[in-house]
Amino acid sequence: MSDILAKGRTVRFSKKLDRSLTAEAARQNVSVSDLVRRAAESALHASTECAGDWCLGLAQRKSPRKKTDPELIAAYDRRHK
Amino acid sequence: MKAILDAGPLIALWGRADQRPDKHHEWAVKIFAHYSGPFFTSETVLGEVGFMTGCAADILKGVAKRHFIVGTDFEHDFAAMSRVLAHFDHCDLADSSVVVLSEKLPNLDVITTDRRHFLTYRRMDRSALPVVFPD
Repeated sequence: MSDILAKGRTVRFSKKLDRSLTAEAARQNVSVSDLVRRAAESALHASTECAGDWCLGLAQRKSPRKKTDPELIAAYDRRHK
Repeated sequence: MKAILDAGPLIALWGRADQRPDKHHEWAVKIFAHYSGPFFTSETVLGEVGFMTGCAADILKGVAKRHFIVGTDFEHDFAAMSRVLAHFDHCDLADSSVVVLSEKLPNLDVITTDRRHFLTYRRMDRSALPVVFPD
C-alpha cells in the first residue's frame, strides 16, 4: 500500500469502506489520504522485527552454510580459549 | 535496547560452521532475547562471524535491514584504531574496532564472550568498557 501511495496513484475503496474512512478522517481532522498513509506506515512499523528477534530466528534455521577452513576456526579458538 | 556487539555472541547464537557446540549458546539466547537492538558493530567483527558461522549472506541481510549498524571503518577510524592497537599488545583488529565504537557510543553495553581481553581494554578517557559477559 505504501508503494501505491508513494507513486501517487488513486486507490478506490468500496462505498462502505469509503464512508467509514471519511468519517474517521473527519473525526481526526485529517484527509483520507493522510489517514490511509498513517495506517500504512503504522502497519509497516508494527511488522518490523527487532534485531534481537531476527538474530534469534536465524539461530533456528536449518539451511546449509558455507564451509570454513578448519584452520581458521582453530586459530579463532586458540585466541579465544 | 541498543548495544555494541562483538563476534562471540553471534557465533554462540548461530552456531559454528564446524558444528561443534558453543558453550555460550544458552547465554547468547538470553542476551538476544533481552537486547532488541539494533546492534552497533564493525565489518571486521561481522567478517569473523561470517567465517565462523558460514552465515555470510545472512549477515549482509542483517546489515540491509539495519539490525547491524556498521559504526566503524578503517578509513574514518584509522587513527583511533591504530591508537588502540598500539596500546594493547593483545588487541586484534576486531577488538580495536569494538573499543573505538565504545568510545563513540559510551553509554551502550558491549556484548562479548571475550572476557580475557575485554577486561583489560580501556577507552581513550581511561574508562573501562561497560561489558556484558557470560556468567
